[in-house]
Amino acid sequence: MIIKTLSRSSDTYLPARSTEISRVSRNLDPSLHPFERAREYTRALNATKLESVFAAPFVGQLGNGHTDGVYSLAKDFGKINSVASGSGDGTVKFWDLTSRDQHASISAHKGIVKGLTVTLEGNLLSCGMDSTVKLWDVSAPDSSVPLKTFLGSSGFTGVDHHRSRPTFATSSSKVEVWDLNRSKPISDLSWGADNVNTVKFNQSEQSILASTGSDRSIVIHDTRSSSPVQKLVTSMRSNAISWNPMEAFVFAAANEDFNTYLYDMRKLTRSLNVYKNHVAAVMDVDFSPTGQELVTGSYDKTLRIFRVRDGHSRDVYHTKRMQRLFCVKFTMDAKYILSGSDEGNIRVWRSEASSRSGAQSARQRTKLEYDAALKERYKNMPEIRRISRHRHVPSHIKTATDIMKIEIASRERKEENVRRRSKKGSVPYSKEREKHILGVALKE
Amino acid sequence: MVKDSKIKRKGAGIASAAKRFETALRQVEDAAGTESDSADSFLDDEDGNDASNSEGEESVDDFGFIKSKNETARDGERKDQLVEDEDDDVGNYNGLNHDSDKRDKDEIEPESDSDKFQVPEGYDSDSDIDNQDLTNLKEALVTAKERAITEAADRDRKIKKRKLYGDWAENAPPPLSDDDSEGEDSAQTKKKVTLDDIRTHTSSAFGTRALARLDELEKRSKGKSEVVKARLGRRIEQRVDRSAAYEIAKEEISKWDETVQQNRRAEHLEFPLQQNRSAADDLTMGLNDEGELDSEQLVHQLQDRKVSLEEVRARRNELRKMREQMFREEMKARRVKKIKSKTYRKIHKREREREAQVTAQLEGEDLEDDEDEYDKLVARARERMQLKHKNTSKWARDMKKMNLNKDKGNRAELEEMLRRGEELSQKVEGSDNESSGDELPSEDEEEEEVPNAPKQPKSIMDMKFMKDAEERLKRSNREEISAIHRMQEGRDAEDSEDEGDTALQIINQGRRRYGPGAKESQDETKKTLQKSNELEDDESSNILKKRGRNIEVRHVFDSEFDSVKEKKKQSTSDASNPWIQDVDAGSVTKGSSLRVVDRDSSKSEKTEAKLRRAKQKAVKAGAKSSSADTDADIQINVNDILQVRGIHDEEQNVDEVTDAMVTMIAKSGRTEFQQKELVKRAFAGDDVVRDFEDEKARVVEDEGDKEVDVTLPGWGSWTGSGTRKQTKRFIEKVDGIKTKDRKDNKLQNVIINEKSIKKSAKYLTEKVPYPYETRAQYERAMRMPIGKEWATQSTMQDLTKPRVIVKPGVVIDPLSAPFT
Repeated sequence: MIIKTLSRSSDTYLPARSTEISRVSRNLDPSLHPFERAREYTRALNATKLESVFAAPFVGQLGNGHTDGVYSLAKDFGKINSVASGSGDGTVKFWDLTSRDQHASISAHKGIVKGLTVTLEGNLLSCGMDSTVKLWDVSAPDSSVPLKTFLGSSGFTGVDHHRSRPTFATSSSKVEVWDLNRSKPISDLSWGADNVNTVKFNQSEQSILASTGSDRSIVIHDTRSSSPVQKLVTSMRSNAISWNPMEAFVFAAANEDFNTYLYDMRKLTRSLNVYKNHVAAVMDVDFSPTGQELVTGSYDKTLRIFRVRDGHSRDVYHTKRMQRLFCVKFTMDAKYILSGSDEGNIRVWRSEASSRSGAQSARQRTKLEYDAALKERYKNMPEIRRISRHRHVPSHIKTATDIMKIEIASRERKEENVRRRSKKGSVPYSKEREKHILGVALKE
Repeated sequence: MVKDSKIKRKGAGIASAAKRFETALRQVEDAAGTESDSADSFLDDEDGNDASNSEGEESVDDFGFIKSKNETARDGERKDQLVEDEDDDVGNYNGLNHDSDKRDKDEIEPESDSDKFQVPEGYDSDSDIDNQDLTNLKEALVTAKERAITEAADRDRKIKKRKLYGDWAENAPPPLSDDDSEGEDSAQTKKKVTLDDIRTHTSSAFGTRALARLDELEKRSKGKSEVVKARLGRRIEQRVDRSAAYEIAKEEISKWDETVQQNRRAEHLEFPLQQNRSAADDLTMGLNDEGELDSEQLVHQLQDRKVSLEEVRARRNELRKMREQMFREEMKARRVKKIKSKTYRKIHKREREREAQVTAQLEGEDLEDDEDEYDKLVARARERMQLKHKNTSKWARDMKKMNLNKDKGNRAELEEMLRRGEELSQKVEGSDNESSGDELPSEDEEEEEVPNAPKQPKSIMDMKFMKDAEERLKRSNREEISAIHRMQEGRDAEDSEDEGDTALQIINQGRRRYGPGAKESQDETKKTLQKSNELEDDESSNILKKRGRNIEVRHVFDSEFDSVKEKKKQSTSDASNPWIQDVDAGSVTKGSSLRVVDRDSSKSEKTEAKLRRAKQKAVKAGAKSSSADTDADIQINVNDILQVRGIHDEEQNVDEVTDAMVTMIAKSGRTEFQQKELVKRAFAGDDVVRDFEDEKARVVEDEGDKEVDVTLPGWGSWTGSGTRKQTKRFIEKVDGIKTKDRKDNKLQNVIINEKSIKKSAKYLTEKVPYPYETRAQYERAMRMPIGKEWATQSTMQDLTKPRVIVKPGVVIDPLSAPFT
C-alpha cells in the first residue's frame, strides 16, 4: 500500500547558502495581528524606557586636561578628530580625538587665552589678553615658537577665521579684520561698544560676521562694505554667537539672562526662538553641523542640547566634577560634543546619549529605526512623554529650577494684577520672543 | 574793497594756486586790453570784476579740494553752518565791487570769517572770496556782472559798454534774479557773462591756456546738479551708509532662502548634503557601473536641461537594441556560413526564392503573373468538380449503360453525387458572390440595386406577387405601430391636460402599468422620481414654510384609466406586504396628482379638491371593486412632532394611529387595518421622553454621593450565651458629583457622563498635539500601524526612515551656495 504524504522541499524554506539570511515568511492577514495600536504603543513605551536605560552620554575626557580652566575651544573645520583648547594659564593644547591624547602643548600667552581658531592650513591662531594674536604650526616638532605674531592695541577676547580666505577677525576693544600675510589689521568694523566679547564668521555667507559687545549689543558686520550693518541691543549681554551652518541668515546668541535666542539676521526686531531651561548665564553656544540642533554650555555647570525648533532642551548633561562651562563645541560629524569647563577638563559627550557608534547589523538598525519612529509617533502619550522628558539633574539645578518657577509665576501674577487694575489695553502682553530686545539701530 | 580787515589767510596752498591763476588771468586781461583800447576805462572796471570773479572761481575750486582733504578735521557743526551760509554767498557776490550798494554792504558786514576765504595781504584782491563751488560762483559771477553793469551810473560809460557788449548780449540767457531787473536799462544789461564771452575777447596764447583751464572747470561742473548739497554729519552719513550696506547684505543673504526652505521642508535630509558637483560629476553621476540610470540627481539634472528622463531612457534603449540585433545577426550569419549540407542548401535556396517572391509581391511586382496563375487554378478546380459530380463520370456512365441506375442503392448514390455536385457548384458561385461581396453596400442599397444586379436564379420570393404581398404586410405593420404610438401619445397628452392645471403638481408619472413592460416603465419613473425628489424636497419645504403648519398633503391615485383587474392584482400584491403599501402611500412623490389643500388655500381650490374626490368616488362605485382600498385617500398630516391635530375634513373618519409624526387616515379596508396594527405594534410602549428622564435620573444617582455598607458579613454576629446582637453597621460615604454640580444639570435633553476612568487616561492625550489641528486629523495620523506585522517591508522601511541621516565619520560641510 502506498501512502501519499504531504511533503515540501526544504528549498522553499531554507536558505540556499549558509551565508544567506533565511527568509521569514509573514502573513499580513490583519485578523492574525489584532490590537495593532495597543501593541505598538507598548513597543513605543518600551523603546522610550530602553532609551533612558541605555543613555550613557559621557565618553571620556581628553588627556589630563589643563592645569587651569579651559576658556576656549576650536575645531578644525576640515577634520573630525582634531581640536584645540586654550586655558587660563596661557597654555594652548592640540588634541587628537581618536586617541584622546594631546598632540601639542604650547605655552602661548601670558594670561588667559580667550580665543582660538584653526586656519585653512590647519595651523592654530590663538589670542590672549596680552594683546597678541599668534599663529602656531602644531604639526612642527618644536612648536614653541609662533609662526607669526600680530600685535593689537588691547587685549583680545576672541578670534575667528574666515571659512575660505586667509583672513581672520578679532574682537578686543574693536572688531578688526586681519590678513594672515599682514601685520596690521586691514579694516576696523567696530560700532560703539567699548569691549567686544566675541566675533564669529558666517559659515555660508562668508563675508558676514557677528560680534557681541559688553554694551549688550549684537552687531552684524559685512566685510564687503567693511562696515557694521546692523546692531541689536538686548536687555542683557550676549556671551557667544553661533551661525547656523545650514541656514545662512540664522544665528544663535547665548545670553546672560539664562536663555539662548535664535535670530534671523534680516529681521532682528524679534527672535525666532527662545531656548530656555538653563538656570544660570549661558556661556557658549554651538550649532551642530547638521543645523538641526544646538548645544549650550552654562554657568550652572550643565550643558544642554536643544532641537532648533523646540524651546526646551532635549537633553541635559552634567557630571559631579564638571564645573562652570565656558565653551562647548559639536564635532564636525555631529556625533560628539566637547565641553571645556572651569576645572580644566575637556570632556567628550555623545550627542545622542543612547546611541552607540560601531557597526550595526541590518536587523539592529531596522529595530532602532522602528523604535525611533514609534517614539516619534507616540511621543504625546502622557506616560511616554513623562518618561522621555525625565532627567535626573543635580540638586542645585533642581532647586534653582524650582525657585525660578516661583519667581516667574510671581512675576506673571504681579503683571496680571497690574493689568487687571489698570485701564484696559494699557498694559499689553509682551511676547516672549521680543521682550528681551531693547531695540535695533537701523529701523527695518 | 569790502571786509579787508576781516579777511584771513586759510592756507598757503590755496593762495599759491590762486596766485598762479591770477597771473594767468592778468595775461588774459592784458590781451584783452591790447585788443580794444577804446574800452579802456571800462575794461579797467571790468578787469577788476573779471579778476575778482575768476579769483573767486579758482579759490573755490581749490577750496573744494582742500575741503575734501581736511574733511575729517572739520566737525559736523561747521558743515551745518556751511549749509546755512549757502544763501548768503550769493549775496556776497552781489556785493562785489559795489561800495555804493548799501543793502549789500549791510548784508555782508555782519557775517564773518571762518567760512570766508582769504587772500594774502600783498595779493591784489579786493573782492570777497567764498567757498562755494563752481556753479555757485558762476551764478554769482553773472549776477555781479549784471549788477556792475546796471549800477554803473556814468552815462558815458554806459555807451561804451553798449558798444563792447553789443555782440554778446543778444544771445545771453535771461538773468536769474528778479531784483536785478529793476533798472531801466536795456535788455543787454541783464545778460550773463559766459566763458565763451571771455573766449571771444581773448586771442593770445596765454589767454587760450588760461581758458583751457576754465573749460576744464566748466566741464567738471557740467555733470553736477546746479547746487551740490553739503555733507551731512558723520553720524548721519554713517547711518545712511550702514542702512544701505544692511539692505545689500540682506538682499545677498536672502539668496539662501530657497535652499533653506527646501531643506526645512525636506522629508529626509542626508548629511553631508550633496551639493555643488562639478560638471564632470554631473555627467557621470546618473550612471552606475553598468551604465544604468538610477539616480534621482540625474532626474534633477535632466530637468534642468529640459530633457525628460523618458526621452533619454528611450533613446538609450533603442540604441542598445540595435546593437544587440546587429550582433545576433552577425553571429547567425557566421554559423550558417559554416554549414556544408547540400540538402540544407537546396531547401534554403527554395525558401529564399519564396521569400524573394513574397517580398516582390509585397513590393507590387509580378502582379499580372499572379492573376493568371490564380485564374488557372480556379478553372482547374471548377473543371475537376464538374467532372466528378456530373453524370459524365466513368462510374455514372457505366451505371447508365448497365441500367443499374434503377437499383435503389445505386440510384441513391447517383442522386447523392448529383446533389453533392450541385452543392459544390453552388458553393463555388456563393464564394464568387462573396468575393465580389467585399464591397457590398448596406441592405437598402442592395434593394435599390436589384434591377442592375446580374441575373440570378429566380426563387419564389423573387416573384412579383410575393414581393407585393410582402410590401403590403410591411405597410400594414408600420401603420399599426404608428397607431400605437399615436394612442400612447394621445393618452399622455390627455393625462397632462388633466393634471397640468394644478399648481402643486410635482411629478407626472402617468398611470400605473401592470403586466409585461410595466416594470420598465416603473423603472423609468423611479429614475425620474429620484431626480425630482431633490427638487421636490426643496419646493415642498418652501411651500410648507409658506403655508404654515397645518397642511394636508393629499395623495390621490388617479385611477380613471385603470381596469378593475389591474387594481385587483395590485391590491393583492400590496396586501401581501403592507409595509410597501405604507411606504408608497407615505411617499408623496408616488402620486399621479398631488395637491396641497389647507386652511389658507382658496375656496376654488377647496371645491376643486372636493369635486375631484367626488369624481373618484363615482368612478369607484362604477367599477364596483370589492377592494377599492388602493384608491383610498390617504392624508398625511405634516404636523409638529408629538402633536396631533384634527383633520379638517368632515367626511373622513380621523383615526390616530400613534402620536408619531405621521397620521394615517384610512377609510376602510383590511390593508389599512393591517398597516395601523403594524405601526402600533412597532411603536408599542415607545415612550421615549419618559425613558430618557428615567435614564438620566439613574445616571445622576449612580454618579452622585453614595453610602456604602462595608460591614463584613458575619462579623460580630456571635452565637452562644451572653452575646449581644451586633447592631453596628459600618457605612462609608463615597463622594460623588452632586446634582447641582453636574454639567448637564440645566440641560434637559442631555446626559453628560461625569465619570473619569483612570485607567484609560493613560492612553489619552490632554489636547490635540501641536502640528495637528483637529482631533480627527491626529487620530487619522495614528491609525495606520507601521510595524512589520501590518505593513510590507518596503512600506515599513519608508515609514521608519529617519528624517536626518548622518553618515558616520564624515565632515559635514556647511551649506555652500548653489546659486553662485
